[in-house]
Amino acid sequence: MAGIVGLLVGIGFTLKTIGVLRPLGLQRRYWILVGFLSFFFLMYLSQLLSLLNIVFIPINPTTLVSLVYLGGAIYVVLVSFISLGLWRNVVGTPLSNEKARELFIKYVGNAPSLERFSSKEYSVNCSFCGENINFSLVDVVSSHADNIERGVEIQEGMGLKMLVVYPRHVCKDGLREIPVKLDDGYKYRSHGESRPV
Amino acid sequence: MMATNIALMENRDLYRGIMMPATGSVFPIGDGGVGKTALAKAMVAHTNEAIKLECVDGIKKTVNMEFEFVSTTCAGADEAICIQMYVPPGQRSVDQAEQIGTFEKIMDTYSFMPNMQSISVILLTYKLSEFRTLTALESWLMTAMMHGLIKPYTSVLLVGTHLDITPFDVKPEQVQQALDFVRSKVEENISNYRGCIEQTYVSNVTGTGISELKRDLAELICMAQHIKSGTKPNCDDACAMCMDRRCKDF
Repeated sequence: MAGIVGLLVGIGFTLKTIGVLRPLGLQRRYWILVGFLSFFFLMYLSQLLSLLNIVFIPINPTTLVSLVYLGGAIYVVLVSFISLGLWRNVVGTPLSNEKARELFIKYVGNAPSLERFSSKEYSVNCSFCGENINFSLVDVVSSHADNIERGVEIQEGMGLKMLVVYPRHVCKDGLREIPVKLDDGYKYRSHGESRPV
Repeated sequence: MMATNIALMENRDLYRGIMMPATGSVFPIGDGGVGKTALAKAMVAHTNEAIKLECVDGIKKTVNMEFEFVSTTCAGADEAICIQMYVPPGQRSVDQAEQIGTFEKIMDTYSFMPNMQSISVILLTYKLSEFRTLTALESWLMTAMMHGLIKPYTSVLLVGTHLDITPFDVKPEQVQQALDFVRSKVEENISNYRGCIEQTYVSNVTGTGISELKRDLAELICMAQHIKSGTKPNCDDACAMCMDRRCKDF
């Protein structure tokens, strides 16, 4: 009984997520989760009805449990996959210094030396919590590995170039990022107010 | 007829705008919110004594061409210099979409005006507190050249606004670099270019730099006229422009 209630709550929350993601067209994977949850729900329900001798289910209980376990395993894989993508999007992917520099060069066109690229030479204060944050360009690229254009913004024109990088840090209310301006020599210029991610 | 005349007399600015021919025209361009409209209004309101601060209050987004008429003097000129300012919107059309109130749309509407084809000074306007507005001027400069607004006699002035807001996001050496860029692009694209390419900073709120800008504009307009007519200015050494600007070549 508790399992059925838990599954109904689970389906409700997943449908809510679908409602949030529908305008963006990102809801497809969550429909698969609803499918799995509905499958579990039906299995549990049939078991309950069978135990209460209301309906006879012509499936061996062992087969039924095996099916539920199989579904559970697939469900867990799917959820892990979705949350991996989500967390990669939010906190990035740890990259080696070389890999991060490579990605940076691909996007920006050039980069400081590897030593400078990986050293935490920048230091800014979060306007929200006041904490001092030291970061390197590797940190910035790693935390935006999947969407580097969100972490490194190029302002170019009139023969001038400036980069705005967005290092992230765990603040009082969760993740925040700080816009930090660097000149074309990758020297610190200024930084703005932090904003929630 | 009588009533119209009285109405015109009552509205002195309008009367002056109609009756006095402009000596030259000035065209400020740049991203939205950099202070093009406020600059024009500050120039109108500015007197030798002080600026009326309230003139820049309540300025809204420009969605049509705005016209301001500024009267000033030039050290070497005999008569008052009347500057006709055309202020276009700062927002651009995206993907050639039919958007009302954008720069492109307004240019299509007003390009028939003869004065629009003989702009004396282009003001490339940017915000000192926002680097992005300076880099965006590259596209504005190209647009101005594409619309044929820059003639061999048209001077280009890089105007940094919001001088009263610190810290500055733009360094003086970056402005110099941008100035060199403008110079190279203009000289590359406009054959026999003889205008001036300079820069200045102003605050539309405190009025800092406005009187200098008016004086510069007056000189540049005089200079444009001399280049157009091919005459030597008669202001001799009294006029600063003859000393340090290109018309010394005459």
